[in-house]
Amino acid sequence: MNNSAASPGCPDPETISAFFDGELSPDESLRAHLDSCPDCTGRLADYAVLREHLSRAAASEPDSGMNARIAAFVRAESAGLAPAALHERDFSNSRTAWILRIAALFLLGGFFVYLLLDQMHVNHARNGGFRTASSGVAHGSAKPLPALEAEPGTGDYVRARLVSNSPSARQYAIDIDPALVPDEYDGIPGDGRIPILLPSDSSSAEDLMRRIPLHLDPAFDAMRMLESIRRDLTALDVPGLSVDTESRGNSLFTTIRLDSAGMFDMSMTRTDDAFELFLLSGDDAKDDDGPLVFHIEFFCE
Amino acid sequence: MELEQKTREDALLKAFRSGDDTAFDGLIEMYSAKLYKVAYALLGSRQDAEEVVQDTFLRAYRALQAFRGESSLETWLHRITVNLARNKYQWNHRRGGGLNVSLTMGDDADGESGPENEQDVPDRRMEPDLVLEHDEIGTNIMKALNNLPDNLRETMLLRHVNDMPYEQIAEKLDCKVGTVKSRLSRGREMLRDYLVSVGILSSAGGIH
Repeated sequence: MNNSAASPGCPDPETISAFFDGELSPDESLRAHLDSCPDCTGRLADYAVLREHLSRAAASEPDSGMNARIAAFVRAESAGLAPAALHERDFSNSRTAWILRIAALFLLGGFFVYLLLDQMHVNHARNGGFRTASSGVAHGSAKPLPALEAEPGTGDYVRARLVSNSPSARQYAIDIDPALVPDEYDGIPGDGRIPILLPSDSSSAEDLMRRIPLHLDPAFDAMRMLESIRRDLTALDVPGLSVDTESRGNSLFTTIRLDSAGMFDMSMTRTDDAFELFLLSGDDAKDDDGPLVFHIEFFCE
Repeated sequence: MELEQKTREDALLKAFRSGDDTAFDGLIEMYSAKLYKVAYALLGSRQDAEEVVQDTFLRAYRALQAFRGESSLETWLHRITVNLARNKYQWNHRRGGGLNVSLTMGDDADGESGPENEQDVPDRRMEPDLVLEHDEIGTNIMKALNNLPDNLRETMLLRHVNDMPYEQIAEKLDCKVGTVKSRLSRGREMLRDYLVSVGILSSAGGIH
């Protein structure tokens, strides 16, 4: 049921909402209407219910020791990073930052390559035939992509691994349990995003080594998403960037190469549109290591 | 007041970036309580809210060099907190970890299986006194709030939890006052529709 529409003769909800917040200039005719109209009075009463409950949170106060605990936590968790090096460089628009963003897109894209292939594998099993999938996300490769042979419920995992040639870069791996993909679905209708959930403390590389359940909206169109990712990558138009995808046996390799390099660590958080990568310089950050190469590998163990 | 806050923030940022690690404590002091309230509104648990604020400042500490200053630091921190809280809410929800979630969300409370997912579920989440709302209204408002589109949720929280007027919200979010007005209206209507759909509010207005 949709109660958003205003009744005939009533002000629109936006006006009532602004009136409720005291953001409208005094208007006697409006006030007279709101005082006498049952629909509008009901709407204002509902807004008051919402405000009352939200204002309880506003009234909450952390205990007096929270700031000290936060400061201690932050220092302890960042003990391996030199503070000075954290502050020296602005990577936000560097090519290295871009490559990490691209890598994240590919990592996500890879998940959906897997999901697409897995779905096709299921279809193949249902149809009693065999098909080899190919995907529009691969750049520079016309080779068919492999079907990954992870069996749901058997303990097999598909692993996405991000490896860099930068000597100080850590390696990242995310395991996807196929058994969790369909069963753990709890899509949010109308959300329109890829609901991959990370544990709340997933900012560090160590945390990314954890197994991460993948949540998939059943209405999600994998091919459309792959196309979208491909467009995003193309639109970036980063000089010196090359992307290549090839299959080897039961694995899919994506290589991203950039004529720039830097040593880094990274953390990620979720934003409105995607995952946002924070690029962090290491103690010995530098840009003269030669080409930076990432391999993103999808395989089964 | 705003100018004073901005001046202090700029000074602390400058000091921190030049290597004065203690300046970060000043930023914690400036913003932790506001962020805590936002996290609390989304999670309903004091412990979870504090964890989210801790994680927010950890990210800030590690990534302040990536902060471009296109929005205010407060807005940036607020956004991280909201995102983390939402992730945590959903994570708790899927693990069936919250009393408020598991009792009232019925068929949605499908905690996942698997040994790794069962670990680290703190018993404290089952302590009723750590939950903001035990009643159906509060639980459903929290659920609906967590499921709002990001821009509507962010605007709703700035208005109701941080008690900001429209103009200040617009400044924080770098949008027009009319956009704030529209978002608040849409957010309220979406929450209202949801609460009517689950039978909390009457379609004629007011609580059932």
